[in-house]
Amino acid sequence: MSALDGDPGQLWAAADRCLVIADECDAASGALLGALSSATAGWSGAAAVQFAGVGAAHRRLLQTAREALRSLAVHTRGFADLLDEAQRELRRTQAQAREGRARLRGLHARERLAIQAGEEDARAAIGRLIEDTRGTLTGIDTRIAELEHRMLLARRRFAGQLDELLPPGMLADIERLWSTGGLAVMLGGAAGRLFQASKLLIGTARYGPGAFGRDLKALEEPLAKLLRGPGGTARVLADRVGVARRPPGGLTTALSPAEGKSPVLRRLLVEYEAATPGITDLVKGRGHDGLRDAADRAMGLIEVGGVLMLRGPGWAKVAGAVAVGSWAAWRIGGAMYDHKVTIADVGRRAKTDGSAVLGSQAGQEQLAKDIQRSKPVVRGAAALADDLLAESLIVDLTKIKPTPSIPNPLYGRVPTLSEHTDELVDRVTPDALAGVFGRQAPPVITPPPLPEANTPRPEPSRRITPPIRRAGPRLGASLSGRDLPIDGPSLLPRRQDVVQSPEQQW
Amino acid sequence: MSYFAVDPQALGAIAPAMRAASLEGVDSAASSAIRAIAGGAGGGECAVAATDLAGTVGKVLGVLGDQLRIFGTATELSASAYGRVEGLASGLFGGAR
Repeated sequence: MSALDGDPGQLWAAADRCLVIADECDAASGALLGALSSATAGWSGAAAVQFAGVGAAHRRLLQTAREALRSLAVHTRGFADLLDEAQRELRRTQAQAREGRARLRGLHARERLAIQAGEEDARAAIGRLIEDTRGTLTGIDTRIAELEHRMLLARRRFAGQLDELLPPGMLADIERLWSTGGLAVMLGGAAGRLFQASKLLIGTARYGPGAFGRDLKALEEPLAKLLRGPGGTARVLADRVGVARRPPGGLTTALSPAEGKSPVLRRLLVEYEAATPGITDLVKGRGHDGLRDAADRAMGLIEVGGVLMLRGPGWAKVAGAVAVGSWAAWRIGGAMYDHKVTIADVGRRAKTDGSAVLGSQAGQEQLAKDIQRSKPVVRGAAALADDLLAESLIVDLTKIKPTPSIPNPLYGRVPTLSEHTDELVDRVTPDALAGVFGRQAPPVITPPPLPEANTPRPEPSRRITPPIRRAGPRLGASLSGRDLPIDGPSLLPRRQDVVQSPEQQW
Repeated sequence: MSYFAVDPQALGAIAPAMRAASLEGVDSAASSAIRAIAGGAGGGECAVAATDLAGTVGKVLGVLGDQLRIFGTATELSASAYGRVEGLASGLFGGAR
């Protein structure tokens, strides 16, 4: 292999393809920038910050890849140009060498003829030409060696450029996004879901003041009635299709010793259990009058028919399921209609009380404490979500369904929520909740105004008796100018007799 | 008022743009182009370096494409979750926050 080997045309074409691919990276970066701008324009908070950060990291890597591909195209073009020039020069030089060798052969032939003819002068002249031609051929060989050396250096430089094209650690940076990329957004969503679920469930149900609690209790019985029929049927049907293995209750439990011995009896008992709510509706009704009562009983009959159809072939099972579902929907809808006032009231109180309690410092402290207590539950739920997420993501990306006997290393690289839930829960502090829900200022206690009758009326200033007057009517009387002798000694100092001190003067 | 600091519909609307940035097929195209460089270089250390680079660039762009797809999927999932909880919360609290 020579240093001058290679195909510049193929290199130029490859460089052009690299530029096209770099443009695709650029287009992806632009699309991502547009998405980030749209999202961050109307999104704030911790999840938004994480989203923007992860998006920016993706863009940086895309831009790095784009620049690497553009640099690759530039380096490849430069190397191809050098190679092309060197190959052209080699071809020119090789042609000169061929001509020189042919000339040398001719000169040697003429030299032999001159020796045979004894023409010493001609032989000497031909000998000088031979020496010149040999020198030219030596120069050509040197030129070819120089070309080889120059291209060898160019190859070394090009190989170095290829080696340094991608920044070190780029792949590790990208792989690190496996854990931070999806995780950031998911954690943001998980945080939001956690806050909202807490707000909805714990906040309203546990921290509601007495009236709301009473309403929940009032709703408890209707809710139980609401779910008993469909729920019981669902449980029994689940047992029927093998989803649940809880033994049926009532008559089935009483006959359970015999049930184990006869599969037919077991099936009949299961069907009886499943059809019991429908039979009850059919026979007793739901306590309504008129058309509503007739409809209740008809729907009961449909439920019984649906249960029986479930034992049939495929189409019958579908029809049976639709029948049982219709009956359940009728039951739930009817119960909701019957209790619409209570349900509406609960909704109203949930709105009022939930907001009020979660806006107070005491409510936020209690909620933070209970969320801390729920750490293991949150971690367990996240672990379950991790399994589902890993499976769905990997199957979605690789289009390969998981095979238990073949371990898939990708599973270990999917972000896991469960490792971060504790940290997340620790961030739920009363102050953080105050940031989410807001905190109302504690009420300022102001004493109520006293009734008008009990308010002590201030004495008018004109009714304040001067102390000197309070000394007695006689002294007061003696102080009135009317009772004083005009020429007698006066108890009050006369104006011209009062000597003021310097302070008093000031 | 929104319960979250994001409009779920706005977040869902950017999902197509995220999908457009997924580098579908770019990794194999880049790898093929760089292998062509290795072929055009005529052997030697350039060809070895180009072959190595083809593998690395293909892997980098492949993983980056996977990342972008995950990012897009996660955004869609979050938008969906936000939308659902937003609807639930709005129904119960009527927009009070």
